[in-house]
Formats: sequence, structure tokens, C-alpha cells
Amino acid sequence: MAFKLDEKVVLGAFDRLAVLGVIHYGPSEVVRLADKEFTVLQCKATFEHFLTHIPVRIPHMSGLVSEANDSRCRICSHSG
Amino acid sequence: MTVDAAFVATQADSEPEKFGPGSDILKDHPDQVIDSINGTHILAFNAYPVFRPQYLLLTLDSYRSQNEPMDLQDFEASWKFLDSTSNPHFVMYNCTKDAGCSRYHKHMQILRKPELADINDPDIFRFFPDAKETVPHVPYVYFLRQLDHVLPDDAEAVFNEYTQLLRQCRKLLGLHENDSSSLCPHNILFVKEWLIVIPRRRGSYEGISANAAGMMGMPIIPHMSYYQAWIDKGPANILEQLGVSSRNT
Repeated sequence: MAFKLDEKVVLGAFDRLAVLGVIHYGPSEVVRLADKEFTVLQCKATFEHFLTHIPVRIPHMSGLVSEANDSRCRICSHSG
Repeated sequence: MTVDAAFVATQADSEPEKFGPGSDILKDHPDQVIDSINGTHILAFNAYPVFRPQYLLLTLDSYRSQNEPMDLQDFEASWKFLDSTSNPHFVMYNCTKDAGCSRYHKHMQILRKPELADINDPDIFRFFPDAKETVPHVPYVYFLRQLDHVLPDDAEAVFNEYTQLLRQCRKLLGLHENDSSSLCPHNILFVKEWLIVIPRRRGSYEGISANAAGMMGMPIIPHMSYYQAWIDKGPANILEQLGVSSRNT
């Protein structure tokens, strides 16, 4: 059976659930209260760079959708 | 109905809904479910995402366990997803707690592949198998297969590649290569171009854990204090401890 994902529609559904509070950024209530969001440690360049240097935080779609409906990180405003 | 039976019934009614009997994954909202794939898997939003969006691909049989390796049906559903989107995604699976799984209802996770569009930009993160111009020193043993030859509808070919890598993984972990009854902690991460299997020794090291994405350079932390811990311990050291060290192989 054919399966096709309409990513635009899916993203809209995701955002609706985030506004409703169904989608949580954070592993638990406790951590959400403390920090509100996960952070992805992502190296700036290659995997080797990641292994040998202090990783640069490039938040990746980690903004709270329910607050601003955008994906900018609230720490450094990187737009993800 | 007895008082006890009524109490039990009330308790059952008030329990949060899960993705089927035996599941330990909560279904927080009906709209969390996106679709079914192949009649074997449920595609749903991960309610605790890191990325926007982040998908769960759960077995419809909610008694299936994360302690099992991926099977052909898992690959068929995952491969169908990868073939269905215009943006490239990756599938990851954390087999057993020692590979970083936190829920036992068998599920794959699917996320957008990082920054593939800018693959020629050396400052952009990508998975190391995509950085073909460099040969990185990876501190853990991994098994990698290119999937360039696999046709869009040939998930079985991907499964066959995985099966071979799983045998190698078992041998490395001291199991018989055909031993399907013992737990074999490993991460799987695959895109349309390649598949990697990472044998695991432990799920966490000094309180720091990583799943498949973490082993590939995208660790997820629940709090900023963990960020400092990654820096203090050193990413290479942590990954070497979580996987099987590549120093002696």
C-alpha cells in the first residue's frame, strides 16, 4: 500500500499539539520546570571536530513552539 | 460488582492511555497518531521531542520489546517512511537499555537528517559516513554498509545487510553470531544511503548517556549541567566508554 507523508500538514498538526501542550520539549515535568527544553550538542563541523573539541551548541529546532511558534533557540537565537 | 472490583475498574479508567496493552508509551492525544504503515506499525509524534517534528514508529503489536533486534517488518515500515518524504530523514533504533532505550514498547525514532543540503559546507554538521572526504577517528567499533544499491521498495535488502552486521555485532560482544535469544545491545541508525550498527557496552557512563544519535555526535541532554559533564569528560572518552573501544581492534 502506498504511503506518502505530507510534511507540511504533519508539521501543522505537530504545532497544534504543541500549543495544546500535548507535545512537550523536555524529558519530564521536573526538567521542564528547570530548563524547559532539551539541548542538542551538535558539533560545528565534522564528527572528528566533535570528538576533539568542546562541542559548539547549535540548538536545532529546540524552541518552544507554544510560546512563539518559531523554532529559534531562546539562548542564542539561532534559527535552527 | 464488588467494592474491590469497582476500585480496580476506576483505577483502570483513570490510567493514562497507552499505545496498546503491554505498551509503556503514553498516548497523550488522539491526534498524536499520524498514520499506520503496512498494517504493522503506528506512525505517531514523539510527545517529548528534541526536533520539530520527531516521529515514533511503533509496532502495532504492543507486546513487542525494545530488547529485540529490528526485524524485516520494522525495516519495511521504516524504509517506506524514508521513501515517502521529500526531506531526507534518518531512522534510529536503540536495542536494549544498554543502547540507550528508555521505553520498552518496540519503536524506531525518525528525525530529519542533519544539514544534508549543505553537505559541501565544511562547517555544517553531518553524520560521519556522509563526510566522505575525511576518514574520522571514531573511538568505538562500528559496522557500516552503503545502501546505494538498494532500490526504494527493497527493504529486504536493507534487512539482509543489517542481519550480517548484527552477526558481527554479536561476535564482538562475545555472543554466538546466531544467538538470537541473548540480549545484544546495539544502536542502529540508517538513511537511504547507508546503515550503521554500533555495539554497546553500557547505556551510561558516569551518569552520561547516549542513544544512537548521541553516538553519532548528537547527544541529547536533559539539563545544561550535562553539557558541562560532556565537556569535562570529553566526548571521545564518553563514546569510547559507551561503545566498544576501537583502540584494541
